[in-house]
Amino acid sequence: MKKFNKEKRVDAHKKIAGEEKYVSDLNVSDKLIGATIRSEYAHAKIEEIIFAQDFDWDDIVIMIAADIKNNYVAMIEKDMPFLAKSIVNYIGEPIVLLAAKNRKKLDEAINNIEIKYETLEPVLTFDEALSAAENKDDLIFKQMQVKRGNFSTAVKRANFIIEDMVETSYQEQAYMEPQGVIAIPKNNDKIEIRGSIQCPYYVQNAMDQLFADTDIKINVNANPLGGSFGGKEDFPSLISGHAALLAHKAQKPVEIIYDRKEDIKTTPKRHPSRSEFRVAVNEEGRIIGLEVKLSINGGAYCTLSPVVLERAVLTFGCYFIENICIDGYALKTNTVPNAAFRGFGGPQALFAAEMMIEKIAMELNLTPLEVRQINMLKFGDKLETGQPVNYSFGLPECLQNVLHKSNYIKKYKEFKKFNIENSAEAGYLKGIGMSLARHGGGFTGSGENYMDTVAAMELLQNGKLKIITAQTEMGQGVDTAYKKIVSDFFELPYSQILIENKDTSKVPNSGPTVASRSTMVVGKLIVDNCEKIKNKVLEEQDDLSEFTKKAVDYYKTNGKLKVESTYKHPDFVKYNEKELTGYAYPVFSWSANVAEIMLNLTTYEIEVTKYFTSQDIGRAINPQQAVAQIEGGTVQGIGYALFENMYTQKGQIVNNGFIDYIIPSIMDVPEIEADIVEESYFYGPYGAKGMGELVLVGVAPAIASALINATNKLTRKIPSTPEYIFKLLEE
Amino acid sequence: MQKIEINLTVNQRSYELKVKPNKRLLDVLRNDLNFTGVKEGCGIGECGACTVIMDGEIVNSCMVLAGQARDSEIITVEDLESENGLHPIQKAFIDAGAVQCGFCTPGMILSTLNLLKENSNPTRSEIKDGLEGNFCRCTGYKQIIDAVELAAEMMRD
Ligand code: FES
Ligand code: FES
Repeated sequence: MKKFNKEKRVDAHKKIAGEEKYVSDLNVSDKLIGATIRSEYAHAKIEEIIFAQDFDWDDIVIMIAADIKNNYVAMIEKDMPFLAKSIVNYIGEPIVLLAAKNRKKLDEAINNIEIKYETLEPVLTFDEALSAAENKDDLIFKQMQVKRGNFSTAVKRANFIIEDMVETSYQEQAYMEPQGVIAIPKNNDKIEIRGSIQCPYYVQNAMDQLFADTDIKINVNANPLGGSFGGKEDFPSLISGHAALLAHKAQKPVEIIYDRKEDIKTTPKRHPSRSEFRVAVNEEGRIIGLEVKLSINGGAYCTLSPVVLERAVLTFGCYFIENICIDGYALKTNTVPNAAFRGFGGPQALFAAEMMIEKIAMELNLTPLEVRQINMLKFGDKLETGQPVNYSFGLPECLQNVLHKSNYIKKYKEFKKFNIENSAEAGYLKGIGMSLARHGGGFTGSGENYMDTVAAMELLQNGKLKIITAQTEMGQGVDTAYKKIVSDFFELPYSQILIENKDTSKVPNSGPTVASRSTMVVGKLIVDNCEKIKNKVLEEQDDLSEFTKKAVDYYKTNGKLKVESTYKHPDFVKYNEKELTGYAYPVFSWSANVAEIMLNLTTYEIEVTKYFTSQDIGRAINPQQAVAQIEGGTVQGIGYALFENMYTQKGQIVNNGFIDYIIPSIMDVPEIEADIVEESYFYGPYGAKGMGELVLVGVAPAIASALINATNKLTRKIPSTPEYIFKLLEE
Repeated sequence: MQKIEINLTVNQRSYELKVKPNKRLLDVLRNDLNFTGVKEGCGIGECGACTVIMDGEIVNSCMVLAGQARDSEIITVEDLESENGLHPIQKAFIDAGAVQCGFCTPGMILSTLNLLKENSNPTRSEIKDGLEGNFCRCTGYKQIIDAVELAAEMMRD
């Protein structure tokens, strides 16, 4: 087995010195600043855009839809325009772009533009969208069904039929660095895009389509990101297009950096969801049938909603359910488009699945743990798609660990007793709750096989190795993980290993930095590339001690050595994307979680006091980073569960910034006890599988479960704000 | 608005500048003086990414105007590393794994610097009080608290 050395993050020094260059730190001379003029209506016809005649427009660069030939942002569909032409579909939709030398000029120009609209009827809420969708198919971006067995026969055998509905709200990624890009034109026929971009090849593809039928060549160079969490996966394609259009017209660099308010009001978020479930249960508490209607609010344009929905319908808990039918709908509404966010449909589905378990426990008078234990997947069981869990399945061990460490069983009873006997006097209720969670590694279904993911590696003159991928560093530590993989393989110090810039003119398309695939999929290719280089340089010998010397000799004799590897799933990983059957993911990561809370009976605020989690992530490439990811994901999950409350009024997002969109501060951090279960995945690099999303998805249901322990009422909504809890207790 | 002349000492060096009095200190530091270690996360005094030390006090530089900063002494993160190497707080942040995307890090480090100046042996809850104004979306804060404890220990020795 490979040894894992204990070196720290490779980018830490720059970051603690204030030297890391994020996009806003780039010193680009002679640049213009870009701004976006946006729709004030959720649904309207644009009648006229009036540029005041007495204003001097000479120094202002202007773009409207009519100036753009290929006016669509290439994603799954081509429905979203760079600028709205005749119809606007949400408040905040871009209509006009401007660029000028400085902010003052820009503001003056903005004040001299007037847009006239004829308003149309918007579709805003779930209720409106669901009823409208019944007779208008174009209000559904995607509909899909995963099905096994027959629910109605299960109903006949069941002792109990239990139904309910739960909802989840928006969540804003709230990366600390707002969205930003800069487009730099070069000799008339080239544009370089630099920016806070999670997936440079997504942007490349969007720009290639925007500038198709011209001679303009684009390259996309991703800076280190000040956080992303999915928020900079799809959206940069839109603003890169904005900056590139303006820059091309002006033949000057154009920078578009959002301030926090613009970022919060206009960029995609986690999809709000609604899940209605009907579950057939026998007298022991075993689920024999389940029917779910799971809807997500996609907003005004399709973006990534179909794939978010697919992951949601394929992540309905960690239970064996023989007869199951999950209908998923991604709905169109006249609100800000929603898209990628860490977990990608998983948090919504797992919240619903875990509340289903809690509801069964309440109805049958069992403990939530008992219902989980009765129904939990066992080694060899088949998931709803028919995929067996017969390798790398650490869930039972995670559960054991977390029960043991948290003393859940004892506290569950104690807290109930405390709440009956002492809470009035104490002024608070206590609660302990749990959740089971899973996250499939990599793209859903056949996505990974279509991608033809390629990663490269080069041997340099001085014997150093250069890792060449498009995987971006957004704080998750991918650069460090990759260096570590190579360092461990060749027993080389980090100083011998370089990482190529994430510039599409220099790196192959190794796919987006998403879906917990960077280590599992691209990391594997890095190991494959190491093998190839080793075989060339050492000619099948195993002695690594001479590697650098031999590598230098190799270069002298043979010149440059660059190798590439292309990813393919293991052979048996086959998926039928029409039927949603087969291997939805090559492997799952698993977690079991326990949260303890105190519910203040005066303010109805909840404090999470302790959090225990055990996570099966396969082999941990860098255990310190793994624990850091778990802690970060946990705290982001606490915000999702309790106070990250974003809402709309007449389609307008009301929140303005961190004043009224409250993210967790250092005061909200509970004691976190995390451990890692390393159920090795035979096909991952050294046995690793994904973890970046698993760390978040189980948090909110564990807290909601604790709230049930405290209140004896089902938690039907997250975030469970004080207002919600007040109403719940009044019920 | 008329530009005014101000004198600023940043990281022990003094600068004469002509700026509009309502320009934000954040922009003066980032754009006029190129101290890009100062970050803008929200622009309204909520996130702490733009934290600097002004005359010994922690301030959000997005909320301070150039006119108010006249004749003051400013410390930014760029000041911490010296010929003798990294400041113990910087070392501690690396060793404790307190850095992820790094966007909050300069502000966190400066708040830590001031905290430890006032209290060389803070409890975990005092550390929380000291860093309450600095948001971090990546780390979950635990390793940041660990880093402050570690830094305090290194600085006491
Ligand atoms: S940028 Fe100053 S507090 Fe956020
Ligand atoms: S490390 Fe990313 S915000 Fe703190």
